[in-house]
Amino acid sequence: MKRFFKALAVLVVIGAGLYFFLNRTDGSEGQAPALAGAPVDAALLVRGEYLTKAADCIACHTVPGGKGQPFAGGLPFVLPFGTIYSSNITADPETGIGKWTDEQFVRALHDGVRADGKRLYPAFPYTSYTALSRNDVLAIKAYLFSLPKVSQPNREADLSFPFNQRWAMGFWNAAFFKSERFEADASKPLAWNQGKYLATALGHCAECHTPRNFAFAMEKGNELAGESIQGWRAYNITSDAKNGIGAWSDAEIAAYLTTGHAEGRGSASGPMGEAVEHSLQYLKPEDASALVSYLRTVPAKAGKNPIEIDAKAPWALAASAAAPAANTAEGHELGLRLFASACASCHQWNGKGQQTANASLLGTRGVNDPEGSNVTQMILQGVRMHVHDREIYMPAFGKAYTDAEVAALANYVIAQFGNKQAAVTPEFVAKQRAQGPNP
Amino acid sequence: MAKGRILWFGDRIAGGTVLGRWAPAFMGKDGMDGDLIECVAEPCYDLPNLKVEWVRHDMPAGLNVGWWRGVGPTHNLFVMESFIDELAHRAKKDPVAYRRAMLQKNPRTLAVLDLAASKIGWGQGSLPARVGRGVAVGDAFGSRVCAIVEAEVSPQGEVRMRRAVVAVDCGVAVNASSIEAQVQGGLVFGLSAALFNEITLREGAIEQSNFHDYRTLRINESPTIEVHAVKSAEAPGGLGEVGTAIAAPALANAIFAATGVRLRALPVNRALLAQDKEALKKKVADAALGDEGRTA
Repeated sequence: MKRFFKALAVLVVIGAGLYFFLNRTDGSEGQAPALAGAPVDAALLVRGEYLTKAADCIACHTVPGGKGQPFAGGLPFVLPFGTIYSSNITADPETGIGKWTDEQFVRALHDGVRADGKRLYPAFPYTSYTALSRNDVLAIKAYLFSLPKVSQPNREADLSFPFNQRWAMGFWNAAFFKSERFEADASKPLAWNQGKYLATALGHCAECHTPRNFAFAMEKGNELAGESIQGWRAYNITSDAKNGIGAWSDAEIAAYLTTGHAEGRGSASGPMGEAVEHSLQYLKPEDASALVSYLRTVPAKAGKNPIEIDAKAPWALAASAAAPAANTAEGHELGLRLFASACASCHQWNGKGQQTANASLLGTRGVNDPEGSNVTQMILQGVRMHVHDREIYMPAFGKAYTDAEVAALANYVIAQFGNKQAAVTPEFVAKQRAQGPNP
Repeated sequence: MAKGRILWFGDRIAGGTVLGRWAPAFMGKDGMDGDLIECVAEPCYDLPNLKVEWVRHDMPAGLNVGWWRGVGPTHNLFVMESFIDELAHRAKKDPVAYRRAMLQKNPRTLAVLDLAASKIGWGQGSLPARVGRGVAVGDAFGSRVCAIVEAEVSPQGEVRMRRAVVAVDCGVAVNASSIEAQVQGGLVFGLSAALFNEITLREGAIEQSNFHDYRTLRINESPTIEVHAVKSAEAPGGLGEVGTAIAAPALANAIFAATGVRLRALPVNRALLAQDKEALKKKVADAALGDEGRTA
């Protein structure tokens, strides 16, 4: 018995040692590559604003649709094990982060620990922000503290046991998180390093685009190979020519990121639309092309459920702008009828789109994905985003169309414009609906 | 009821008054709103005993209601004609024959019922599964109208109208093509409302903003509509709204004939019409939850 306790004590000591070793913080300040939009010699608030936009803080820390104050938090994240809410990061001393010291703010971004010492959930991407330099973190803090304070108490997370035990995130961190700053690769051009910093530390692209494992941690070695999040597919954006964006030109990628549209490739909407609207459109052209140069080098991966693009879907090619060809769309009577009523006047029967380039459909991954995730969400939620003084708008049809109608329409759209046999069911549409706003 | 005949008919209508708000000078005796009880206080049928009540319940301040085309008869004809249909079913009588028996003292309305029934071929031949015909009659706006709608309901609950026949007696017919256009337009408007036009409130605001979330039947969703006018020397009656007012009950009765589901609220809850009974049960439960969510 004595031996047993001895062995147990040794195990506890080793375990605790391992726990604290794996949770050790990297106290270094880090050196960030200077960005065109945030040069070293610029005023602190100028740098802070640019970096805050590049880190897209506002997307999660603001309830959209004009319903929330900027940075006041409250946006729900519906996860399989409950709902958590983003927090108030205005400088309000009582409900926001007004009393946080520099050290506390840095610790939150670098280590995922908030001012009261409790652990944050990785819905807050400290897993990416840990790579930010201390200087950049403090520039972001200075900018946030220069904005109007909003008094809005945070909403408690509504999670089931054991996920409501914040301390338990220490084990998750021990297994999946490492506190460390960005390190430039001297063998690569400066622009590549800038692009990597933008994509990882600031833009945290991987949080949506990298596949997650059983424990919701990002899979190492499978960066940006695509994942599903909140009912949307965040596509494979590796350099894979067939399944990623390897076949896109530099100009196409840059246009997609900074305007939300690349001709013949796709239009951003949903969570990616938000990233364009709140963050990427503000990148200086030099920084956007730096980002592109980094994305070009992300190792090619096939990803889960790869999408095969058919940019010359026969039914679409046979159609005119004004009418479908005869003898097409067999088996899609309801979908065709709905498309005629609700969609054709903007998207046109040949999928070329009119009024706005964003309405073109041919060649996009959405209409080529037989799962129909994004097509379904587009129909249900529509689009409303402002990019460079333009409003990009598609009505949300979810309210007035049934699950069966949306399914029939999605299947038709995928057949007509992607030349694929999709099997979107009303049950799938109902699930998609539940993941959107105002289900 | 005795042997399927109606001995006593009562209807209690609860709702806000548009007339009282908009044009109080036109309110009737003892503060009665004649618009709210139209078509049921003076029904087309021969009912030996009739009691119609109105319980005034105005909307709270800020939620003013106004007239919608088709006014009082839109809701009263839906209630009346859906219930008459339900009684006919309970009495195991054909819906047209059941109505005919109560229209013997009203030859003009009997004539439009007979005309519409003969034009659609009521009772002749058989219809495929999940296809049904619904009939509705009414005396509204000084005219007599009968609509028969033939609808098909998909296993998922999608409603597709195949055909509609409307017979009207609007008194002296001056312009035949105008009669046809008025009735067709009114019917499409009424069918759109019956199928789609729900208004919902969220956080103090109306959610619907345009035609993508407040649907109107498109031409490829509309049934073919035949309009037949009875030759008549009577005084001219209104035509602008009869098609709208008669549309919902005819459609709801057709849906009952196709599915056995009796709709008691508008717009049509298509989730109730799915063929799969297990799915149906779940959807009914969800719908109940949804209703609670709305009132909360």
